[in-house]
Amino acid sequence: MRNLTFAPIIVIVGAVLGLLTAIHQMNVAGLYAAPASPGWSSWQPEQPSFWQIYATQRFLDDGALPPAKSVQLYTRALDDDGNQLRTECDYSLSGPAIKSRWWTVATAIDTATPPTDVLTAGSALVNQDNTLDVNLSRQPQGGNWVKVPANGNYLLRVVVNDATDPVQLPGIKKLGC
Amino acid sequence: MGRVFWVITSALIGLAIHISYVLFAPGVSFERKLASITQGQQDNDFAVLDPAVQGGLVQGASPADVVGLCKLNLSSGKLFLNADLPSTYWTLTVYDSTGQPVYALTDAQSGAHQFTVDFSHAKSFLEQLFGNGDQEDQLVGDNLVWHAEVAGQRGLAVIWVPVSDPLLRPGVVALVEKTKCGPAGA
Repeated sequence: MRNLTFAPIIVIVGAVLGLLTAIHQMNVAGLYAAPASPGWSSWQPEQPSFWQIYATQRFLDDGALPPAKSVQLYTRALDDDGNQLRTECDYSLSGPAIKSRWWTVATAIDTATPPTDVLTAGSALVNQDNTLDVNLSRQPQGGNWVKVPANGNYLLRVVVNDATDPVQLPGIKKLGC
Repeated sequence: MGRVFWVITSALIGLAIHISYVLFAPGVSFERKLASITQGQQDNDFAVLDPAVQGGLVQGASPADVVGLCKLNLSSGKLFLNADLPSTYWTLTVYDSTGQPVYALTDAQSGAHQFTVDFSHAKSFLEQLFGNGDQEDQLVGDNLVWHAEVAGQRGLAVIWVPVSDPLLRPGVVALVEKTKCGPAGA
């Protein structure tokens, strides 16, 4: 009799744990430290990994198509000081220009929502010394500007297509709030 | 002994739920989103997407870019994609029914901006072992087209053309819309 009441509880506990671990693993998947780009996460590990299936499935769960092999996707939610990117602050993204056939820098609330704004390789101004400066803020800025979401925290997404050199992504400095 | 049995039972149930959720739930969620994005679009028909929705679907696509897709249904045989694309950077990515990218082509790899890709259903291991060579196999060698095999009966072909200036978008859309997708002769 005791086993009969125990059985459904065990079944439910097992099912809930299975579901929670699946959701958790899909949320943390694709957060490999990007080589040569401190602070950035890459969805692709340097070596093929079993856990990449979670990252692939996460794209579908977000309603997005997983990128092809020639596409590198990087995300970042923290500035160089380790603080969350906030819409009420202005930031500067500075570093070497990205060398690839095409790239984009986008701001978004999270991975599941379409980008708020996108700067592309076709519209970006690259400095004469082959560096790139991008301003992230709510208000329009001179030079390369990417608008950030209206409120809350956000993340940056960089997509690099057919990189011609190893990708080295810029750092993010807070200018003020 | 009884406790060990129940702990193992619980772990197995958890594992089954975990694997089922990871393998099937995202696919269902994606199918729903794709259906809402492509409302009114038939299978084996190429169409350019609304710029408002393409950014959420294709990683890195901006509203100025042109994204077109064809929902492949291989149940009635081989399909062809006759692409007509601008002489700029573009990508063609083909996904199987589970959402895995199975084929990708860029302008540099293609070497041409007007080309054809034929799609066929990938043979299973048993079909490869016991099946006779069919007409499709003979065609591959003779064709001057790209060939892609898709696991399962369904797939998705996505063309993405990045556009640097939004003012150029209408011209690129007019060109990309000439792309055809469907059975031979369609």
